[in-house]
Amino acid sequence: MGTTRWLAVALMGTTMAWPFHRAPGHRSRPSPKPSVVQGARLYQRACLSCHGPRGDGQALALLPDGTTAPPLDGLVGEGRSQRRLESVIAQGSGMMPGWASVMTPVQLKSLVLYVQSLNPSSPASPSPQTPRSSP
Amino acid sequence: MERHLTRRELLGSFLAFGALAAAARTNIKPLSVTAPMAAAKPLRIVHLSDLHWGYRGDWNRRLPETVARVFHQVAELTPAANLIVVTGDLIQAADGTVEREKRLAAVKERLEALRIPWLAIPGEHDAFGDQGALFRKLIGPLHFHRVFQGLHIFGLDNVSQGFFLGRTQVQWLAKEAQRLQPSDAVLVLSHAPLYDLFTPWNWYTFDGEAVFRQFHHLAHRQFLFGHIHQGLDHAHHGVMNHAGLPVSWPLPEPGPMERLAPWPQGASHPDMGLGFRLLDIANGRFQCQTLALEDADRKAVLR
Repeated sequence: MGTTRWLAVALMGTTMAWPFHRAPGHRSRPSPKPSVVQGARLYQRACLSCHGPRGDGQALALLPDGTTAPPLDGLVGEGRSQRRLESVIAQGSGMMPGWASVMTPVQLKSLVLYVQSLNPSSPASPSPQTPRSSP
Repeated sequence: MERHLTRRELLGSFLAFGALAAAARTNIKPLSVTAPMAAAKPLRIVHLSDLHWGYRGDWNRRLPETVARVFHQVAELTPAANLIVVTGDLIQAADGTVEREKRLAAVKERLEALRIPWLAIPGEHDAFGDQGALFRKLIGPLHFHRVFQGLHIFGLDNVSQGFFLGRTQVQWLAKEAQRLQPSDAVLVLSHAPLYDLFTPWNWYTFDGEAVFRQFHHLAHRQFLFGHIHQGLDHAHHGVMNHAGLPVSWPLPEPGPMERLAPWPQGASHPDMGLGFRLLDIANGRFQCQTLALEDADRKAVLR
């Protein structure tokens, strides 16, 4: 019994001390990077109620004073740098909460990416009358 | 085959009928919400929520009168309540500090007049404009841990910075929770629900899952919240979450309405959906009841 125990300890020690190399093709877990997809998910959870599903200020819930939050779909423009946008989302402004106390830096950057994607200067949506494709 | 009632079934039917008749007369509607819960001795807790003192408009055209009647019913309870908990929105948001201070002081005065110990946490209307500074000054801390007759009561703030608790509060909660024994009974108060009830209307807490994690090792947990202006009982991670009835005005359920909006107070049933809830902890059991202001036998004024 004692010999078995010593063998087990020796085997475990060897296993832990052995200089293993990573198998070919192995990739270490990538550090999370900001993504617009994560930003969209966060927007739906944290921002949509006050800024509207399209970010155009069409709120689904009013602020306590009966007003609505401003639209976000025009924030990418002159004087509206990414840093400024991130700062407002992180620290808050007026009635806007500062999300840095609950979101990670990566989440904040993801949110910035998504909010920037709400830029209305994108090509206009086709109207229902406009033929989208010809047969 | 013909089946006859036994004497026991007949007696049971009489008792059930009697209970229903009594409930109709007193408006107390016992719910099927019972659970094991320990306390040093029998406890009766009144759960008030969403008073919105200072509101003027057609969602409740006679708010001071409604508040007075609810407080009168609380004072008349038999047996008397041992504790009152208020899950936020004591006042309707106002722009000026002076007006907000006046409103908070008015609610505090009414609560004090009941001569029953009370605890309150802020709603987003209470914290509006100053992130809860005035509430802290006049009412008390935004989050707290109190032990009342053996019951651990945690008041949480998920509104003053936004609809979340934030890292600082979650860290505080983790420290407090570590000190609890598995047999301890916990009552958690928050304004917004701690689970995702309906995020498009801000009926959620961004990091609310942390609270369920911190208390998962406890056998006796009940969570109370307000904000949604309707009575509701929902199990999440094995914990019952009870929404308080509003004192001010009811809100619709999420569903057909895209935007959250109250409706004008009805002429025939002005008290529809208003009232408070009663929590009784006795003999190791927890029971949640609803006390509605609406009189079931009220005659409609519009015919």
